[in-house]
Amino acid sequence: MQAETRRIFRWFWPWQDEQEESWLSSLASQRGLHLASIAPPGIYTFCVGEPRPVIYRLDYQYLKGQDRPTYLQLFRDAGWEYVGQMSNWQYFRRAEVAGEDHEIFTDSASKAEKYRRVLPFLVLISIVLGTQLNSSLYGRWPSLGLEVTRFLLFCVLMLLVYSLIRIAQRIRQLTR
Amino acid sequence: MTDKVLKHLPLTEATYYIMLALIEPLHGYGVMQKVEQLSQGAVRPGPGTLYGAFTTLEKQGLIVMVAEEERRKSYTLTPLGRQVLLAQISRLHVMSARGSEAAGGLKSTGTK
Repeated sequence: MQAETRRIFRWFWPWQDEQEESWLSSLASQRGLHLASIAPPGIYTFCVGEPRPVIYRLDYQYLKGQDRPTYLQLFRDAGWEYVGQMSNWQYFRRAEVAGEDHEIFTDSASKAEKYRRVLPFLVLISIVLGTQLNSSLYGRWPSLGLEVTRFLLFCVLMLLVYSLIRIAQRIRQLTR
Repeated sequence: MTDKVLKHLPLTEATYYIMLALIEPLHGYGVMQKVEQLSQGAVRPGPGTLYGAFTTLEKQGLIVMVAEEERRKSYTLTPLGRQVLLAQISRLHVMSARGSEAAGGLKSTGTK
């Protein structure tokens, strides 16, 4: 018999990684929902089981094929189970046991580094979208479709810029 | 001392102990245990911190990978890494000596 699963859709903003961790932990400890897989843009599949305290932690790494096995082995050796990845966010978990380590980043310098790795991707997407938006302003045929697309592009761009500001703030807090 | 060495100073506490552990070739989990032992339990680098440190130190040319077995990479210090570590140690000596001199005075005036 196959285990019961539940699917939840949730949008995840790049500055909300800690909220994401506590959301997953509370689902595990209160409702017995244990993350089985994740897929972009935010489809979470859970196995339904016994509620138990589990700690979730997210790293941000763009992993080239040959780096992945050694990266995952290091976390495994340290007692972390790999759940999966979504847009370069790497999801790990371990059972919550008093007296054991609960952090994958143990100083603020390395935590700030994690957020610094997020920045180039956001900047890149912002530039691509910004260029698209800019060239669409010189479109020859003003039409409703174009206006809507332009507006949507603008909204996404604003959200990206907002993400950049929030992440830059996190880095400043951590390196102060 | 050259700028090439000085630009890496000061090392964070975690990086300092990680480099100290890498005087001999060691893989990731070995470094975790060695650092905990060297720092008398004060520093226990998590895997995220450690992976980040390996990546950065390797890029800076302070450590180099010497072996890979069963998905575990072993690193050790490069000659530049050794120079940087030695420079950090001599700075720590000065810091510690001045601190010890001052500590006596601080203790007698610190509490009212």
